[in-house]
Amino acid sequence: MDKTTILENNHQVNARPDRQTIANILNFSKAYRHEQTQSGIDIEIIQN
Amino acid sequence: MDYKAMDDAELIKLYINGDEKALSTLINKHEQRIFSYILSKIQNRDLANDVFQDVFVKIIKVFRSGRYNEEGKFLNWALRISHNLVIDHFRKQKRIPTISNKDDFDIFDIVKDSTEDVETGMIREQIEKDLHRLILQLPPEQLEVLKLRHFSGLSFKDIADQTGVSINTALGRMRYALINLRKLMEHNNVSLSLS
Repeated sequence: MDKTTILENNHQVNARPDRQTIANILNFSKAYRHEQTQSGIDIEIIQN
Repeated sequence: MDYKAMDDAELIKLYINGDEKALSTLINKHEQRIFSYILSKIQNRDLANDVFQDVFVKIIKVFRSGRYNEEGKFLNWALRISHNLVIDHFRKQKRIPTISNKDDFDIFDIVKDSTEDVETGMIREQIEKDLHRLILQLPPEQLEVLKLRHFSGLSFKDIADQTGVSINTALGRMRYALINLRKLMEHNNVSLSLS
């Protein structure tokens, strides 16, 4: 009789995001700038 | 510089000062916990990647705006953002129209589950938490009337008797409680809608 116990990872406890997702985040970070005018208005800039 | 030996606060400080490598290390350190949490709720890898990306876009924006003040509790904060974005995801999903069967027979009419689904349950739970937090910010006399009316189910006459004020005063307090609650919801950007 086979007594092997298979532990299923149903809860995806060790899952990691795709490398492309990480690359997208890091690219966004490099392109994103936040500035505030003297009157206190927030300006978001995405640089190419 | 040994980035891997640094704690979250040090990495965040470096990133805010322009060091992109610090962000990369921070993501690498916590991506498993955060992504696993999102995936466990959404159960779809592609969508979980989208939400994960949105979480870090939000985090980056907070870092860059100088509004970050969690002081060493980065992961808890990131998981809270993840939780809120998962709820936003389910809310958006419910707004997307779905194609219905044109035949008279629909198997889902028979197997339909009348119990609340997981997504609606999560949204409801969040609404209750938000509402509880906001209600506690009301002035004590308004909070008292609101509790007696909505949670104890008392009539305004009974509320007036119990709190030693006239019915008109009790009604007025209730009115102002609702006005203030609406203002607090707007101010805190809280939505109490299930859909």
